Amino acid sequence: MLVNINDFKARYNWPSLKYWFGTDADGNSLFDAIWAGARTSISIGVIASLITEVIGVIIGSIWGVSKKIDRIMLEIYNVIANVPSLLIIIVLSYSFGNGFWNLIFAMTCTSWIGTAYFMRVQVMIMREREYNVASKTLGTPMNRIIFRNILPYLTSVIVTDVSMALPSFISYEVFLSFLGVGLSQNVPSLGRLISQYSPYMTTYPYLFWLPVLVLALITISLYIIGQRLADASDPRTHM
Amino acid sequence: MLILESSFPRRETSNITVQEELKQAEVYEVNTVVSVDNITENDFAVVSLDNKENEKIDTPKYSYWGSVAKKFLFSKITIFMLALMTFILLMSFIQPLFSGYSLSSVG
Repeated sequence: MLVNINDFKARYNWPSLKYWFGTDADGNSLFDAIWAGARTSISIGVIASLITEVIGVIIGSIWGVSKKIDRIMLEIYNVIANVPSLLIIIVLSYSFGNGFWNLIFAMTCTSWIGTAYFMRVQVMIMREREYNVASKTLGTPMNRIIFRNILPYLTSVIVTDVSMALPSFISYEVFLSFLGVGLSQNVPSLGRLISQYSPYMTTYPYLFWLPVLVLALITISLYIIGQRLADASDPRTHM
Repeated sequence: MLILESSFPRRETSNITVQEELKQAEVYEVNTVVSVDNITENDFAVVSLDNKENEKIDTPKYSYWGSVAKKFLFSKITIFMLALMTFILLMSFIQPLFSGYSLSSVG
């Protein structure tokens, strides 16, 4: 809330006990702004990577075992993968208009196909293993081969993919908000804070560096936890 | 010198095993050191084969997600990062409820 907008003493306060992260040109507390922004950024990252991974893993596993679908999907993949994903996201968010869900739609609209292709390759590697050939010969239905024989072996691969998708979606959001694309004007986000305060990098450096620091802490902790979880979920490390 | 000890695994289920163990404990205290000269034939017990016991496989219990958790929480960096992430998540989802920060409201 801009309760301090007419209070000149509340402007550009350096971090203190009253304003932990200082205040900006309008007397806004940066502490409040950062956490409100982090909430938006984290929500976008989590929702977008959840959608991408669920669609990508399901379609990728079917794509990997079926040769008929493979022929069609490979052509679709070739078309979509050759257009830069950032371009697709920017064009889509321009055409659908700014907004939280529009941005998530723009992000997930085509990015699932990358995950699906990755899963296709992984599934194809597992598909030709002896135990799967034997299982197929014995008449196991395709669904069971995918969900019981193959996917449990790919847990650590999927976790690795999630751990890379989460920080990358957060970075996408920050980058787009920095450009002024994506979120609507009344939604706070870390990217918006960073772009809004970047002119103060030399005069009031705390306004720029504190949002950057929080963003870095979020992405680094998510990435490291994801990588460790991926390592831990690989049964070969359980010796 | 010879060390006689009850080295075979204790299994409560088998009667024969328990009896043999008791007999051995009668003659000598378990884990005592006995010189070779003092050993007679009576000190030994015939160990019979128990087919049912042989069928048991002695492997520690394995649970997949249990092992994942053990491996995951092994590293101190991971625990630190987990704490940091939990802190950031809690702050960013609880703090805005109290601060009521909004870009659209003015004054």
